Amino acid sequence: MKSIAVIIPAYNESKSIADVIAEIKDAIPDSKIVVVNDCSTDNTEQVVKGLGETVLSLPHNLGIGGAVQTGLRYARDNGYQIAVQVDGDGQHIAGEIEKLEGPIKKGEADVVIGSRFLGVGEFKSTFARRVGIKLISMVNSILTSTKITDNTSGFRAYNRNAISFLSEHYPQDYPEPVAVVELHRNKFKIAEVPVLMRERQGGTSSIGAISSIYYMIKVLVASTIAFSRSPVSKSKGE
Amino acid sequence: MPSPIQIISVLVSILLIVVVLSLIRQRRLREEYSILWIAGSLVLIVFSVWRNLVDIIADLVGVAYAPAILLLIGIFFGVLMFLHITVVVSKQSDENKTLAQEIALLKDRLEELEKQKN
Repeated sequence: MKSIAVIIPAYNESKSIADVIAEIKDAIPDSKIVVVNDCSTDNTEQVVKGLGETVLSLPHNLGIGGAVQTGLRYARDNGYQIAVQVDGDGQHIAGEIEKLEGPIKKGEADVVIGSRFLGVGEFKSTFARRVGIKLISMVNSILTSTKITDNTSGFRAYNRNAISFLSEHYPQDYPEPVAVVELHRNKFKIAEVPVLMRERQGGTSSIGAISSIYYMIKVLVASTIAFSRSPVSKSKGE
Repeated sequence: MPSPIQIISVLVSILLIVVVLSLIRQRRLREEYSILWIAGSLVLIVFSVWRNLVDIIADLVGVAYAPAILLLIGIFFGVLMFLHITVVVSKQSDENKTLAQEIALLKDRLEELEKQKN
């Protein structure tokens, strides 16, 4: 029984990816590292190959949703029991992965989200973004009747059932917040744990400051529509 | 005696149907996506031949200016076609995504196998 796959979606992360990988190998030496190279224009692929790690290179850019799903499919096809999603920009701290695994190993949750807002450490952000994050959090918490503070966090762990489900049904647009609603609709147990995150080392957020209000509206609409969908039949099938 | 505009519109409608059918024959248009076009052309022919139909419908739904009905039907058809195309594009982009993912996974497996062979 293979245990844990760490999925790192990466788009032009050649500057930070080596450090991210080294940190993960240090923190959880027995994990399988899977970098999904979302058709980077830099040498992300060569860097990862040089380190001897697995890199799945997409033939064209799919965006974060399609990239993460590729990694989940790899985890499904190769029989991993737990998949952890970690950003390629060094924002997430490998030492915190253990906290994500905890509730899954204890069977308390199918999906665990690492939250910046549950009290550990400070997280600086612009006003517009804080308002947006709060609103999305409110709506998603109501829709899923679970308090979820960090819906856009890409620091997550999934158990085998969630891996199988998301391999087939991972949302392509605004994947992080919409996946929360879709997982809840399909009766997956979602838990949040407080984690520390760093200021990003390289790269920029996929959400610019100016467009964060527009992003928020789109997410709210997408979440509500996702909620109105009926659950996928046979959702918890292995 | 049909007016010139009536003859022209009948001819244009027939031309449209001929073009649609020949595109299907040449396999440049999938049958699946052509139904709306054929239906649309047929509606055009009916309106061109049966001139009073516009007036009858206008009377029925209470439109004072009968030709507005034609515009309405035209716009309705256009919106329907556009919607249909976006549905098709969405489906294709989804299939395209799955293909890209499969390629990435297969490439990795192939490289692993080649490594093992050497």
